[in-house]
Amino acid sequence: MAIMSLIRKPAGDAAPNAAEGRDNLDRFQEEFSRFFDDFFAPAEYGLFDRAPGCPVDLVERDDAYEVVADLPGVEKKDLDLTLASNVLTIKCEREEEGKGRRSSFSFKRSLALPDKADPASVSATLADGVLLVHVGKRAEATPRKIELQVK
Amino acid sequence: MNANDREVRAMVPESAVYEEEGKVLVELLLPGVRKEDLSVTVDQGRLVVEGKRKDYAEGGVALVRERRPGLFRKTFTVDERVDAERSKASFDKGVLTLEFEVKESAKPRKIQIA
Repeated sequence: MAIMSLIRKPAGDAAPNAAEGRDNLDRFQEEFSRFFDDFFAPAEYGLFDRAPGCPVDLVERDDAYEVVADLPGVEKKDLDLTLASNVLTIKCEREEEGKGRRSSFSFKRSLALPDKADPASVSATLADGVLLVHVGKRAEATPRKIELQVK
Repeated sequence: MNANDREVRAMVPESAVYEEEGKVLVELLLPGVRKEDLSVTVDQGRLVVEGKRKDYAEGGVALVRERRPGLFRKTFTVDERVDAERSKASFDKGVLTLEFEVKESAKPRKIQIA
């Protein structure tokens, strides 16, 4: 564990930040062990698991819906977005070229959009590691009058 | 420390530390954080990365909310082997990479057998 040799525990309780330091250290250890499991795990999440792929927000605005997804380090070429029957699917396949620091990962995340979402007006941008999908709203379906033809 | 303390605490971003070729690399995942909202300081052996990220849901109604906006903070303890004076930082695609040199005196030395 090379990592543990980089982080020293504060010496003794006399140090003012001893308690905090220990707490931070414990949390760091915890997070570090979780890091690869959570973020780079293959997309083999079960139905009721908490984090299938990337965390997303779905925001409703007056005229549109916005899907916001955290995709740090991901490039445009790694992403494949599809919209079918009002279900938006974010597919991500990342090949990391680093020196084995970070393994490759891939996942697929689907999100059902509300009925009023208009599949004909979709646009997406990727900036600062965040994917923003803008989906317009369909004009409120107005009741259609059916003319009765009496012969 | 109880459960409530954790609730109000700033979000802790995902991070990892690597050591390679005489360098210590710290990588933090900060998607949606702007450079101007980010602060990195090293003081008395503590590396603190903190800031805030904007709330995309502002002005709208959040139907699904899995991302946490607002404050984040991550603290590392910097070992004396690391030379905090010689560091580099890059921030790209929501990934912050900090690069620290390991002090020459702390690098492994090969001892020749006479």
